[in-house]
Amino acid sequence: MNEQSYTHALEQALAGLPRAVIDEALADCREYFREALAEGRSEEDVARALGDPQQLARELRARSSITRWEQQKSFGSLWGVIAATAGLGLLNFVLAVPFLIYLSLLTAALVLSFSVALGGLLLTMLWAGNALFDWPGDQYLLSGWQRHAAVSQEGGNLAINIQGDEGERVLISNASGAGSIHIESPDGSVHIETGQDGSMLLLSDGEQQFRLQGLMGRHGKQVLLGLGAGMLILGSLTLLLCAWLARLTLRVASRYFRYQLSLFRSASTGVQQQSLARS
Amino acid sequence: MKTQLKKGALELCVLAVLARGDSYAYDIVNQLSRSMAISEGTVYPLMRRLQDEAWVTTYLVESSAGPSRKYYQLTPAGHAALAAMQREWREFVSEIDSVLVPGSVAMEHQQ
Repeated sequence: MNEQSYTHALEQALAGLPRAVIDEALADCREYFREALAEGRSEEDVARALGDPQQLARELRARSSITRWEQQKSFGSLWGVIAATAGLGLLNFVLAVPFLIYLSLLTAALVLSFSVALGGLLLTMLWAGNALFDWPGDQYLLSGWQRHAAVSQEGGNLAINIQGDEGERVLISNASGAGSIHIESPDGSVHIETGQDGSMLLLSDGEQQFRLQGLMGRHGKQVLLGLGAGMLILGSLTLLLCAWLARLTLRVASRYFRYQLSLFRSASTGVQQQSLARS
Repeated sequence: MKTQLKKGALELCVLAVLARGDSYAYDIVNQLSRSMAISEGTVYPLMRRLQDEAWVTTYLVESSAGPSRKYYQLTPAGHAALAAMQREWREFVSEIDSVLVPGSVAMEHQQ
């Protein structure tokens, strides 16, 4: 391997890193070759002494991903760090699997709580718009959903029926003067209803039932507000909890990866012991 | 055994070389290899790490022939790190010595 092929291999192996990082590594590498050649060494000798460019690239990559991650602690860059560190063969498999599962759960929880909060915010805004400015109007509110769900109308009673492939069903209706939301899956159902007789919440898992009744409620739209505000609060709270967990995880993981990298560094130092031990 | 020991100490050695004066990568390797067998490939990642720790800074010096050289310079934090590592190293050596040659440390103290 000569200088040309060594730097080329290094550049290939570093592809994807910020251009400045690659350029700097290549410049340093060329400088090293220049100095060594000026001393009369052969290109092949220097390339051999510098070791495997892939290995060098792997360590630079891991280092760069950790640096980037410490600058902007995001989940995306954390996955990057994990991938890079795994590339070094550092991450203990036994430790990595539960960590990855935990991280997936945390990511999912973050996404979920964010969606719930966002959905709640949207519903609340729809309700507020409808209540304050009459916009979006009742009809418009519902017709916007028609594309995604079956909307039926029988004698002035509107019903929206969303049907899933595996027996799950969401039914929103205002049959016989009462507004209701009915969510159903093979495992159980949730029923929220409000009408002239008051409101009720019914949770059922097929065997047991939980019923909450006697809530104040005169207007079907209050369900929208209740659901919206509830989701907003629930979503925000879980979002806060997840964010706190995520920050804690990032901090602990940051320390762990630095520690791992330092172990790796001391393990690789002196691995290739052939050198220019020419005194 | 010797290889194992050297692993941890290379960082200390590089800092010590730089404490004597600013230098560039190839010269650092040369200075080290006068006294010890080292792998050239390990020095570059090590220099990156020292930069990340802000123990060294770099500057370019135009050379008369050809492109410029990158010089490494120890920062105050680097000097502090070197001092701490030297102290640890001495403690370590004297601990080991006191086990290997019982009395030798005590004798040194008496003299």
